[in-house]
Amino acid sequence: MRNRRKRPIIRTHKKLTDMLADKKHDDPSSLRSKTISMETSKRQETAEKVVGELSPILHVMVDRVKTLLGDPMDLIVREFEFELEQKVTATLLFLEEMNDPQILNEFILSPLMSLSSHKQSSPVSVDHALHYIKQNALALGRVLDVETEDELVEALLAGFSVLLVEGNTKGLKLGTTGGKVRGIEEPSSEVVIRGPKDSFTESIKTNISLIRRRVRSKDIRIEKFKIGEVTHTDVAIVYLGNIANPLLIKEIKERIEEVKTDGLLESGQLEEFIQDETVTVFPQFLNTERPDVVIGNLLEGRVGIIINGTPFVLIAPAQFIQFFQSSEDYYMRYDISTFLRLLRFSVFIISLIAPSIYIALTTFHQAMIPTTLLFGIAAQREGVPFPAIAEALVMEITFEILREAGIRMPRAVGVAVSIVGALVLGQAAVQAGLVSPAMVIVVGITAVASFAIPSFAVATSARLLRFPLMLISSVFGFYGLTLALIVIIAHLSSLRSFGYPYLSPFAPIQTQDLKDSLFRFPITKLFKRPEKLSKKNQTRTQPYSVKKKREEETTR
Amino acid sequence: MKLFKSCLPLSLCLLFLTGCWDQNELDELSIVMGIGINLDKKGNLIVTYQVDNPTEVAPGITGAGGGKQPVFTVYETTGRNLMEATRKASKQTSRRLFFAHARMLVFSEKIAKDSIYQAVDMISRDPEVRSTIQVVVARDTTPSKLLRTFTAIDKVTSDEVATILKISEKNWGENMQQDINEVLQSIIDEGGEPIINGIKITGDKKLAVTAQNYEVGDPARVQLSGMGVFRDGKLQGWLDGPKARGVLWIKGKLVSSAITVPCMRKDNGYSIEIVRSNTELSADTKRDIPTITLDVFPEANIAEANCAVNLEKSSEIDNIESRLNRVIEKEIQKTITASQGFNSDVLGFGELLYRENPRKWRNDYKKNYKEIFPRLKVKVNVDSRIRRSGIRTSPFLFEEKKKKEAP
Repeated sequence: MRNRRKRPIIRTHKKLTDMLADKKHDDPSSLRSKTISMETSKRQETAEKVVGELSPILHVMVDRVKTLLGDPMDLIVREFEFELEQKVTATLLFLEEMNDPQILNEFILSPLMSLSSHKQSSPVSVDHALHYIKQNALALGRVLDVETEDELVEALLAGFSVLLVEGNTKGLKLGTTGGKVRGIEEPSSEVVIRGPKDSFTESIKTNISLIRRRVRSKDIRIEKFKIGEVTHTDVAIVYLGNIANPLLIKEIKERIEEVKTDGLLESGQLEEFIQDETVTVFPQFLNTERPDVVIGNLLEGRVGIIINGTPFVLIAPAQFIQFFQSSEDYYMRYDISTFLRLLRFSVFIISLIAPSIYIALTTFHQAMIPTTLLFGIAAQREGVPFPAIAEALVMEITFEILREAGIRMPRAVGVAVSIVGALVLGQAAVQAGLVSPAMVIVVGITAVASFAIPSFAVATSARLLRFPLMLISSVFGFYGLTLALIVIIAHLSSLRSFGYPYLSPFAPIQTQDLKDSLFRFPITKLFKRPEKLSKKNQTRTQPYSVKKKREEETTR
Repeated sequence: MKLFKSCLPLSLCLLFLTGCWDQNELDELSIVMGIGINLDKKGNLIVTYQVDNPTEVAPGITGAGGGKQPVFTVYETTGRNLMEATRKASKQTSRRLFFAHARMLVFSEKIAKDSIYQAVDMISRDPEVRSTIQVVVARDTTPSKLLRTFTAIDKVTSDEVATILKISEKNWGENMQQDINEVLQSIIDEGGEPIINGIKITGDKKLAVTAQNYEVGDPARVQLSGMGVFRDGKLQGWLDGPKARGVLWIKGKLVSSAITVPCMRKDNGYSIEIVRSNTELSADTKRDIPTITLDVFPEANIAEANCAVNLEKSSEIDNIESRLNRVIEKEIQKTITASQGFNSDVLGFGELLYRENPRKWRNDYKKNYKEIFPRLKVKVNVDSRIRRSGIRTSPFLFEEKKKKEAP
């Protein structure tokens, strides 16, 4: 079982290195053959689609669309006439609330309906109607031809409006997408004191625009995918073409394209599909709702994956250390950033093992507790009916219940729950002699510590691992705890995110990258991008020499 | 794979069925704070355990017990050896005795005179007992009484004694902390013998063992009292007062103390505060009776000057220094004579000789060290330095004298 689990990791890792080797030696042939095969498959698909050609007769076409969509109540069929060589009937099809009515009225209907033959220099035949109105009447940026039924339906569902003209076997899809979307707000899960306050929204277009606005580089690459047999969710990968490793891009694309499922509602689902290792509690993707985080990672050679319908953008590959970094680290002075990073890391360790240490100390290693403290704890334990492990489990589970309740319940009852929770957890349980006050402190510090980790994803892994660690330390003491931690570290170092070692830059050690890991060196000293991520274009900062120059001037 | 699958539940069972051999909940332990060892008439060991009662010791805890209880209880058993007595104690205790926090090991004078060797092995062998446990000898009292004494500040006697030792070594220097490790080391050292602190009860001894001892303003107290000199594991006698301080001078362990130096025919003219001191030992092993040279370098401040001298003059300071040297020298010489009188090398001279000349030690000295030690010649050179004189220079007496002399 272990072998079976291990194999995929090795394979992906090998794949990347193999491909690297491929690329160096005889790459053109292999790559070309793949692209050729993809092209042929695409051609086959289009050939199939030609079957559902558009009919030139309007009402037939409208009926056809209605049957295809099941005559939905929000399908608006607007028939109207306009004047070319002769009167021409046309139909505008669109799904209500998916389109912007103002654009429809002002830029489509009103210019078309005010067309008259007088204004035209030469009479336009019906056959050329589409071309003519495209060139002259539609004051709209995004106008494309629709040639098949499938395309038409797809366009309607994607929020375009479709214009059909009597006697034409083509239609026009018009970019009138509108409808209500949530505005750009402050991020709710990654709050910073200093730094940009905007966050991604559910709309992929807004999200891409947020990224584009910040990176005015011709090298930014945005590639689109559609995932979900039913939902047809837009997925886009973003990267910087001159920095990111092309093999990484290839791997990501391949993995995304392989996803075959009915629907994709959130980035978490995609994450589970394309991650390297399923049997682990550690997140293999960074998710963020902050555009600046995405861009910071793009600059390091990573890839952002945006999914329509969620503000959480995935970043791959992810390293363990990233989950302890906040974008604010780069905006504040390096000394405080370093301090905070060390703090966050120790906070992770506290939230992971604080209860286990309490259990191990009080049941196995009483000699290690300072005498006075031992008296204190022993006095509290006096009269508590349960062993330390039961006490700890009860308290930890109570806390988990409170936490879950706090997230799910309506906001109005929040106060009530927190009062009851505080009473149950703290006062009452102690007074009733169910738990000792020291245990309440331990649970409290664990809880607060788990909230101080900037990434929710990695906080949950600490939360999960806490329980087995508590059990082990109740049976084997520090000996067991140490063994379990060794196993966890071994597991961490076996993890790969898209073939990149999870524990880098610590294991394997990359001295250059250590500058921006647990520590953050001054920004003027961070010259290089992460070594393995960006094979080309490594330098990111040139030595800053103004101060030196001034010094030289004054000494002269 | 099949094998693995069938083994998995079994190995999971293993996890919970191992029995956790050294697992102990805190409320299943009796925390022993002090161990007392005495000898009864038949030659059996009487072992006394002072076990504390955490609900009363811990501050601000209203335990489940609630009511007023003594802060410690004492168990006493007899046995032919220490382990037997310890295990026998379980006939009286509802919990396992837990020794890791024991701070004091008291020998009675009786067992000290008989031999302490019969009782130190288990203490040093048991992994639970810490090697930092302080060893003392109950002087003019028994361990069982000492461990029953209620002390006012630190509540638990053993705790109090260990703390007194620490503070007294740092501030007065007539006692030094001797834990079990140091005692054993001095036994193992070439020609060495242990020196162990004495402790006694002062005040109303009947009151001492009752909880009322807390309630009176002038309770019975435990007090350090000299250091006991041993030879071959047997107590030979006591070094008291300045003689005991001499041991610390010689061993270079003196951190700070106050030394009275005469001034202008007043015996208590100056009080000199020693702030740090360094001792260098060397030995001349050319002759049959070796000579040992002791160089002591104390640094001191003037803490008190009760006579009218002009401390602004450096000659006066030199004067004080030379007098201080003489006082210290005398103290050290007294200590050496005393320990030579007991014929017990508690000062570590044997180890010094061995280090200076291992071959000669092995061939000549070691065999008849018992004869050599009392005849050792020791040269003591003290070179003290007075660094500061507090926040004033000349004493007010001098200023007054000056005023009178001036018109």
